[in-house]
Amino acid sequence: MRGFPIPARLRKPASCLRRCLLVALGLLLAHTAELRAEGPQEYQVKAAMVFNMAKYIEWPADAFASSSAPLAVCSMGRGPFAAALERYQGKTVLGHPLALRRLSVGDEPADCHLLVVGGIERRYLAGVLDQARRRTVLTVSDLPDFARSGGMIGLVEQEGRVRFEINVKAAQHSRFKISSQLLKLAKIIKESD
Amino acid sequence: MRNCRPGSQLVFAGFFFCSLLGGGAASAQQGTEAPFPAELGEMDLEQLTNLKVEKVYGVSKFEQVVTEAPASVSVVTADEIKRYGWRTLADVLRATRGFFTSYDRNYSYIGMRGFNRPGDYNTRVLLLLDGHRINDVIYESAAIGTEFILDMALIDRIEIIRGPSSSLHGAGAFFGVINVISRSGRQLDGVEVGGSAGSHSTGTGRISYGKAVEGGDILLSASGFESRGNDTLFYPEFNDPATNNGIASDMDRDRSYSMFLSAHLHDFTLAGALVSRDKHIPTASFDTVFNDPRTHSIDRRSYLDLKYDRALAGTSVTARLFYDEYRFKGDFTYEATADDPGFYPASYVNRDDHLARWWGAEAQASRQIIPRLQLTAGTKFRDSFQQELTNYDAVPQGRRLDNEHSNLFWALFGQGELRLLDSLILNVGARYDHYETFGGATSPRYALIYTPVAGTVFKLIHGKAFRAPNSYELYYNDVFDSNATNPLLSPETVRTTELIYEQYYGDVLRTSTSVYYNKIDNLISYEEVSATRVAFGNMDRVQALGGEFEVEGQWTSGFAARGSYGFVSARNEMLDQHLDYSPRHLVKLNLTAPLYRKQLFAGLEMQGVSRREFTQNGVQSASAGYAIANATLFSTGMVPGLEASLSVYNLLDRRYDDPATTDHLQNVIPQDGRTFRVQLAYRF
Repeated sequence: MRGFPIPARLRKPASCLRRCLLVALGLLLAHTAELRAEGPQEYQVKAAMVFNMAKYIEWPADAFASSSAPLAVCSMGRGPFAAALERYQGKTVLGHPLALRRLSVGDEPADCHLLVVGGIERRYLAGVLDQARRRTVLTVSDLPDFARSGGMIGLVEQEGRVRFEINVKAAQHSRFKISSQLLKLAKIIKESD
Repeated sequence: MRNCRPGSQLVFAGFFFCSLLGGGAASAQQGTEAPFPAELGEMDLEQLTNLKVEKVYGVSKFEQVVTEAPASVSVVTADEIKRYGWRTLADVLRATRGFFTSYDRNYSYIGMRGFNRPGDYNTRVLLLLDGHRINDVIYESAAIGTEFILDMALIDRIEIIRGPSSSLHGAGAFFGVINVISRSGRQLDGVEVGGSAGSHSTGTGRISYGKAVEGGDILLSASGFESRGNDTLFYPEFNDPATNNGIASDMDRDRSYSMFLSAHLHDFTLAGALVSRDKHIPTASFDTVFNDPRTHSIDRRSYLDLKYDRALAGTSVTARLFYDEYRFKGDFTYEATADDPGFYPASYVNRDDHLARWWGAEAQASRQIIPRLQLTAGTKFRDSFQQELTNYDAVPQGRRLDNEHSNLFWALFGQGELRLLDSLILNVGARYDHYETFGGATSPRYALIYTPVAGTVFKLIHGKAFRAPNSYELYYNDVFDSNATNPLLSPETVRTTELIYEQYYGDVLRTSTSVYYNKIDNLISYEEVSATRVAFGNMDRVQALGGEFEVEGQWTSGFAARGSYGFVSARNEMLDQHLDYSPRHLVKLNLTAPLYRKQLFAGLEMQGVSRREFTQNGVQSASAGYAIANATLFSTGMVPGLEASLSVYNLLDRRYDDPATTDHLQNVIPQDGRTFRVQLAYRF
């Protein structure tokens, strides 16, 4: 039992429209081989920023055992951020070789100098930041409103570019000194914002 | 000219799918080539902040951390909505693993896990917009068609959570939760105008404005929609000269407007939304006069919501204060009979004029108590102070039935997540809801989430959920006294046990497998108590055993593919037969291919639903199984600021039907054949 007996009049003859459409789409697909990425990918840039950023931050005097002690970069959460950081394993920043470590939510960020927070559930964030605060860890993340939520350095997308948001108060509270060069590039965030 | 045979169409369709997949693999390899990695490390910060970066498509989807959620979750992104040309939430759900819908040309009804009751107004799924409950307090309906409160272009993403979540969300989160998250003013950043035109004289228009301000952002938007609908619908059940030979002429009109506001300042978010939809009803449901233009329904839903969100010394706090309204006006035309008063005209309109107003508040706090234990606790209160279910005849001095109620409800809930081992999480939650009507209901949920190695997740979940009888089921009656009201209805309950296995292969591929068992008791159903009266009662008992498998891939080149299969065997234990309206098999396939420089995309989807059997008007009926395909070409950035798409729905012009609700004389409702839509959006 069908709904449209009038269609004899209304229905278009079953032309080869369908086939033409599919063939046209198929031909278009052949062009996809020419696909090229047009710019560096978001997370490659974000990882490069984390690596570079360390040059503009002064850790409290007791943070490193020696001037060539490793800089421990810990990453927490799923997603491509942690993977993009791998490239910088062992590279040196101001004499400190970068040592990468992955953490899961709930792990204490013991012996971490810098904590990159990737994809974690929002309700864990307050706890993670609380743990970091107690251990003098610089916190960086691209989670929305990270700096406003008490994180130190947020990476936000603006007009297709990655920009910094810095919560100066949170950084100072943990005795970090951020160079004016970095502050100049960033948007300063107050937690009450 | 020789016509295409169906066989050759299939061959071509197959060829098309294969070429998409083949192309996907080829381009995926290119996509993984990292451009300029060496230089990036050498650049200084200023250079880096000035680099235009390429957003990784789809990554946000795997990034949404759903692996530790005590449920099987799907995330739908704004990109997918555009690339597949989805017009309504019903379109989205049809493409989602384990879901199907049925449409009776008035409302769309959600089916999931083998369960679908056409005519239930989706009371068993909780629909949230930015965490605000959209289900109203009379019908508890989750509006997923053109009566949904938010324009699809304002959606940032949709989280679809399967399985009972009453332990967190209370009543209504019976089969699942659909949480729609809106775009922010910051994301929109400017003025955007959009519009579309399509088959059946369908047109839409929208204007949106978004801006980031110091300490927050604001978004304002207004939309309009109008469709003439399918103006020559034929229903053989009415094929009689007295009823226009079964042709419902110009009876499928659909019109709506909606507005949305969201303002975020410091820790506060104020949101307001409004939708009003007017739908003509061509099916002569509820024994109305066939082909009478006076029969139509208006749904108007609005709310204001003030949210406070803050992290206070390691505790996340969310609080909410809200005010909501729902108005339903349904005009139904009837022929006067001997039972009607003598002064009535030959035909007259009987009107449902329903109005509900409610307000309430909720608060929730979440804190890591010790490093391995996260606790969440909350409370909710709602005062439905006005619920009018008025029914009257639109005839001077005609019959009228006033029907007013009000009720209060409150709830307490808590959830703890304990990391027993690095690889094992125990998640236990419970909620107590108290209703004035039937008393209390407790909903527990226990889940074990095991991640033996990175990328592999097992979840074992057992939970109980309930659904409170809604005001419509408790109190509805009309001037014909055709309903035997039943204020003693008890809540229906569902107990679910589910095993989920998710496997991630890098950031590219994901598979999800789940097996579930549902046991539903006290199911509220509609039955005829006499020739002229129906009543709702706690009648049915249902058991369902099912499984779902999905594979999903996304490549940095822009290719994305997703395929799923769902099987369910659902039995009505009372009747000892297969559950009505329940298809055993569901198949979905979705493919996106970038055709040119990530500026032009093709989206193709296929959905298959197997035969649905049911009893209608006392006779065993069925809607045949079907498979339909939709295709969309979407372009973005070819002209700066412009997005355009062309969609073809039901590409192969298949004829298919959905089961009719029990309020219809028809057994099945035929659905639309091939239709088109062109959509444009421009950002200034």
